[in-house]
Amino acid sequence: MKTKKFSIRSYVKGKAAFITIILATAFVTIMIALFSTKVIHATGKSEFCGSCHEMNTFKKTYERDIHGGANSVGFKADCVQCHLPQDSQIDFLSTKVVSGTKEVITHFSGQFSDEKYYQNRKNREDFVYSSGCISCHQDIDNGKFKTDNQKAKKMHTYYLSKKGSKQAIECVSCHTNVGHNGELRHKLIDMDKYLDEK
Amino acid sequence: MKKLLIVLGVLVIASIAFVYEGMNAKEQSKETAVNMPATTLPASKLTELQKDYPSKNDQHKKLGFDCVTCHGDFKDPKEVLPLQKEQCLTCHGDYKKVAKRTSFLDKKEVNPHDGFHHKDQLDCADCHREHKPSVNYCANCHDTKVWMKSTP
Repeated sequence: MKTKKFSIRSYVKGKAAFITIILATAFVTIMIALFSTKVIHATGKSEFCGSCHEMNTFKKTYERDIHGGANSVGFKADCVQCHLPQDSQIDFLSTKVVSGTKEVITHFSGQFSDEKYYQNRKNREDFVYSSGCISCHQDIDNGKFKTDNQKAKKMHTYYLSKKGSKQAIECVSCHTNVGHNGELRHKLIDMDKYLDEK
Repeated sequence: MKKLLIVLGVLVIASIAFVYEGMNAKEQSKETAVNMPATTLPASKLTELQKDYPSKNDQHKKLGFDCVTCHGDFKDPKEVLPLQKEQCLTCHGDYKKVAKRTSFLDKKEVNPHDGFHHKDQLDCADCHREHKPSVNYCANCHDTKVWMKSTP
């Protein structure tokens, strides 16, 4: 074993080796394709996310929101700008792969329901990332936030004072209506069940 | 053979690390030097007071509010007054915004924030209490058990 010199040639012999190489090349190509910027961008837009019918509610409400194009300047944020961390590329990509895989599994196993989405609203800090908000609303983070509303100023100072600590709060802890025009609770709720849980 | 194994091993470790990172991605938010303005009473005293007057509001508790957040700064606990509607609304916007946020109740036409009676005349504290259990103002006249949940 020790004396045997390493050479690719010794592996590229026979049918099995040939098939292995083809598979490996295919795998690498697919990986490269998946990670190329174009695909990453294309799979972060509402057109892609909304192509599964369970995302219909979310897409429609997002389109009526100020972040989804319902504004006078034509600005539109992509799904991933809020729903994936924007603090580093690695964080962004790894979270994209893992949560994307989860979504695909959920889609094909059919384990989604309005009720589950409704219940999941209380975990909103886990899937709406403050770094996403801050990547546009930078003034909040760098202390240059200006407003006439003293209470708003106070509460954003409060956010900064807690940031990074154990009692950290996120943007969506308070801004519960953001991104989907405040309609999600309304759209996902089952009133009969709501009244039953007393 | 050995080299190939090393390369494969590195690849496997890298992909495990990648997936692990993706599953546990918490943003690396850095602590800031920003602090809330100092209160007249020391923080320890406020924590003590909070034990005597705990909040019953889950959302406010989650956000970690203390006495001063809602009541403003004070010297003597005795001078603290119950909140007026206007004070709640500095964060909660205005009556219209609250009505929109609770518009899921409109389906059964039972949204008290945009109700058949009173409209925007009621005070928040007529129903919602922070330190005591909330009450249902509608129940003064109506039998609300059928069409209303207990007041949050």
